[in-house]
Amino acid sequence: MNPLIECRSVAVEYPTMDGALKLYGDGLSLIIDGGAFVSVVGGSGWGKSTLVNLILGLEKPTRGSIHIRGENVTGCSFVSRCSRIKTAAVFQRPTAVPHLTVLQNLHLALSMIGIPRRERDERIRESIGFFGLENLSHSRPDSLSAGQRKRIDLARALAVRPEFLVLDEPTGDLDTSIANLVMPLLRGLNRDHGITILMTTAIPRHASSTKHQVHLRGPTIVARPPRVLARGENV
Amino acid sequence: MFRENQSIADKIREAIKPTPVKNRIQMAAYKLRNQTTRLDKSIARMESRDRVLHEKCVKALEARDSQTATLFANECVQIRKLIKTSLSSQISLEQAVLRLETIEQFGDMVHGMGSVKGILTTVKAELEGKLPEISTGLNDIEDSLENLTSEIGEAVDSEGTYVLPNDDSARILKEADLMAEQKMREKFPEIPQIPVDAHRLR
Repeated sequence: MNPLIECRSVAVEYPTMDGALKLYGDGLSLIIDGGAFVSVVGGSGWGKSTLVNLILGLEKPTRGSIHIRGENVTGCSFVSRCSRIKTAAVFQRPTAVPHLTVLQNLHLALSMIGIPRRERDERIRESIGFFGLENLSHSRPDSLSAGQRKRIDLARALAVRPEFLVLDEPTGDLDTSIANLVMPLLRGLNRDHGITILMTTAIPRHASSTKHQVHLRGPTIVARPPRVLARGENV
Repeated sequence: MFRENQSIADKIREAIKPTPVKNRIQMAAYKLRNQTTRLDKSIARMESRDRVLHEKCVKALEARDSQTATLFANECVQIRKLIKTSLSSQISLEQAVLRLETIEQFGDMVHGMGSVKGILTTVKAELEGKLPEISTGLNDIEDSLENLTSEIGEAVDSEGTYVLPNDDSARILKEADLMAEQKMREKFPEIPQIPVDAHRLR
């Protein structure tokens, strides 16, 4: 059986002022099977978010290929990839609209992906229940703690009923005590709902509680000499 | 298929029964894609103009007419500056389209809109006076997204705006600039060096 997601020898090069920044050295290969919980660990600027973007189709690799269920999707757009595999994402940054209540935020997110009103109510009830947000459903995110806001983001992602959940540094801005509460929730999402999870983190301890771990190495910088196109002009 | 301009009837209909958020985001993405296509066409036109100018510059140098060669070389430099601005704008706008698509898919309203807003404001200012028709088109898109975000806020009695340009837009614009520079290096032949002494001989 084909893996859910596969990266084959992917590498990325970014132009910089004086050369190129190379990520993943000679290429990174990664297999994510359906139902897996994989964490990607690395320092800041090592390409954790880039790997997420490559898989989602928000960036294209310079080398290598990305496959979904065995099909090469390297050239496919973000929208087309999301149509192949139902995906939700939670980012480190705040995503909830601060002036909407928790309920309104979840309704907005589900209406964006075209879920009808009646089904929305049912999904939101289930999702809010899973994350114990019943008492906060009429609160606004800007009046909640960081940990509660993270639970809203996770509830929003669960309400989408994804097959694949991407978590880009979900515990990055949380205190250790709150982060320790979030990790079991993520494991619950994976175990109880069978959602395949890809999580990036800079904290090895959080990664150690996942089933599979990928450790990234730092980027390399390739220098390039400047090229003068006309006297006194660098184009 | 979406229409570029709204009729009065469309506007009245919109006031009575507003278009859902999802459709309005899709419409903005569609209009942004149109602007990138227009940019693509104008880049192609400028590239062919650059080829002609470059050839003329080389021919003038072969004929030892360095004054004419300098003229053509300077024109090439000017047109390449405009191509670079257009390329960088095009790459940035493609990223703005992607951000709109992620808002639709992931409900990433606050951050996504902040990035799009930051990109549109900068690209619009860059193209103003250089490619005014595209700059005006971007202004319309910016207005419609601004209305959308404020309506979402107003629906729940908001105070002030919650969508502000963010670091992501600054990063996208910087990367787009570097990518445009790299494309320029790969795509365009060097402008010939005009011998300085030749001016004195004439």
